[in-house]
Amino acid sequence: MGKLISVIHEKRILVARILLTCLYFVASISVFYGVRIMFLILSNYGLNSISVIPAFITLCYPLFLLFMLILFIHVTTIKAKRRTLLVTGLTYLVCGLFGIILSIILMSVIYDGKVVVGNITKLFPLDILLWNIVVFLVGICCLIFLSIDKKNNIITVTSDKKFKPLRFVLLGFYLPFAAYFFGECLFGFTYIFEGYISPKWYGVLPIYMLYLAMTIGLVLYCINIHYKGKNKTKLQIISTISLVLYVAIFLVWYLVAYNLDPYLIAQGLTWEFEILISIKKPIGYLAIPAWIFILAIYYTVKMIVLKKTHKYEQEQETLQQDE
Amino acid sequence: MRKISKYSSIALLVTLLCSCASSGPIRYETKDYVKELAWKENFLVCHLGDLHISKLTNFDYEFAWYKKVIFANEGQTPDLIVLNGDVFMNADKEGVRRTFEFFDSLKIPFVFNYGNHDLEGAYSPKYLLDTIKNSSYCLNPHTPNDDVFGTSNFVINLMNNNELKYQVFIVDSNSYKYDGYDDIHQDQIDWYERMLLETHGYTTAPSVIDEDTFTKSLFFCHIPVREFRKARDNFKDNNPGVKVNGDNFCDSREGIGHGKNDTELMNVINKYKATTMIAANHDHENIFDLWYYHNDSTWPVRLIYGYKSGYSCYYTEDMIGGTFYTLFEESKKSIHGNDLYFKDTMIHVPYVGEGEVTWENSLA
Repeated sequence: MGKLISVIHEKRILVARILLTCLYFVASISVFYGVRIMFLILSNYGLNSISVIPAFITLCYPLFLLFMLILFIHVTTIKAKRRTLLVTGLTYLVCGLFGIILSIILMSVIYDGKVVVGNITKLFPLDILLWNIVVFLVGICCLIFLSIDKKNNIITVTSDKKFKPLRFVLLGFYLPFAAYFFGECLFGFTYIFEGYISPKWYGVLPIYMLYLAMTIGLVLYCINIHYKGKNKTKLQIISTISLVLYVAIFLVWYLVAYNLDPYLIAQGLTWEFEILISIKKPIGYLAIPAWIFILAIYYTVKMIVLKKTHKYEQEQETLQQDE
Repeated sequence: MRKISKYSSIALLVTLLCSCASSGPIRYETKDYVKELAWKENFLVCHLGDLHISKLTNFDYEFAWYKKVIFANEGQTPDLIVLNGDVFMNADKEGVRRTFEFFDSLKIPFVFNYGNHDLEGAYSPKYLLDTIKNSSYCLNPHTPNDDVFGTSNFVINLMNNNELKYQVFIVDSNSYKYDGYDDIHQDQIDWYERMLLETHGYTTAPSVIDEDTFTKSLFFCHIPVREFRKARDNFKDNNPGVKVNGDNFCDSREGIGHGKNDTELMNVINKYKATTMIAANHDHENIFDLWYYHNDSTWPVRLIYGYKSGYSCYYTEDMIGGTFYTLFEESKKSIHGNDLYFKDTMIHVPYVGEGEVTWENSLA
């Protein structure tokens, strides 16, 4: 066990990347299903929503874990790491317990003692109960680890980079959207394995490309912040322009297709009823491009600031050389 | 030889490309759209709509309630069940499978008409089509990639030996067009006309058409046509605060979500004097049976909003149940002197307790 921990510690960056990638996939699927459940509640005007709330809460856990893990990796003091672990542990403990109680009430009161009803998922609500037990136990484990760490100082800090809270606040808003659209993309591709290709593929394809945009933005962002070579600014400029162009091309493609074919969504994307609703109020057109342009503005402002600081550093180097 | 070979290759390539381009929609024969059932006098059609089965559905309760509704008309077993759209909304494959299994278990022939929400679920359109095709008692014909807009366009012929006695038209009212509801398309109306003519042995419209030229028919579509609003507004304007006037019944508590455009449907119906009613669903808080004369025609078409049949989505407690049509070969007179080709019985069925007739035609 000790050897395993030391190997993990040595390869921590690789392990972290693999873990975060896997967790992102899981979070995307769970956020997607969570939004579907939310629409279920809305489309039923709140009827029977009590039976769905435990499922909805359970589906939020992976995204929360993903965000807290990212935070844990990037905070630069032991105190902050411990605080992150404490918040994660307490949240999982409380929410897990709440989920357990709700699931039991569901089974005993709403479903007349039935452990498996099978409407939301095949094993619902038993699977929700089991997941919440797991989450509750994970919460306990976090807190136990924290108490062990306080005695043995297991948690270490390996980076001296400055922690930037604003970045994580933005990430907190960006991540759920990126995960949701990625989940939509993954879900849509499952139909190909069923032997079904949308008859309106020419208009559906740009939509799925747009779904991927926010995840691509996330990947580019990770590449940029971990890039150690020269011309980092140039890389950021290229990334930003590429992403904006990517979104612009596919958005224009989609809008042209939609205007030429009034049945594009109604016949080509029937399972994407969230889009149908959001297009009636034109939020649907703005959801993805808005985020990408926010990202572009963020990069642009950052580059301006960097350029100014870079100029200052160049002046310092010139002064030192003169001396 | 090389040049000839080169030109042959190009010609072959062009031919292949053209053949790919020309494989478009298929024009099926009339018989491909027709299913037959045995006719009997007082043939009973049970009309259910807006079931809105979803992931939230408690199937045990819901199916038990559907059974209650289906047999609510004095305990009679219907001869045909029409599921008139929005059977599913936010359902999954399991829900679709269980629903079709339930209706198959009743051993009563049924038909599935698409509404605007039926494909909004965690399954592909192909899955629903395959489930329909594999159902033992679902009468929907299989006409993939046909040249008629929509999916559920077909006819049920009610036959006595080889004689056509009655027809039931099922027509897909489609879903959305841009940001509004879609209409029944012109090619669907042309299809309806073609079915009517060819099932009666005609290739073109006869020179003289009267009320006996064609057998009578029911017409089901999920989204109501624009004429529903005209009929409803006309009744309400002339009968303020009243639900019943003669053979007309109207309990309309919400707007009518029809398509954006006028269509030629009523003109074609008037021309052939075969279809006696159009039954729709879609708006859960409307139930009515109104006699409508299109453009001062003498041929009445009854516009019927059927009961919402389910507790999902929005509903009003006293506006859920089923609608039944008892078909007559020869018309019967109502107590108000109108010719009835069918008796309409609307039954409100609560979750707890027995159903009660909300509205029924009175025969002389």
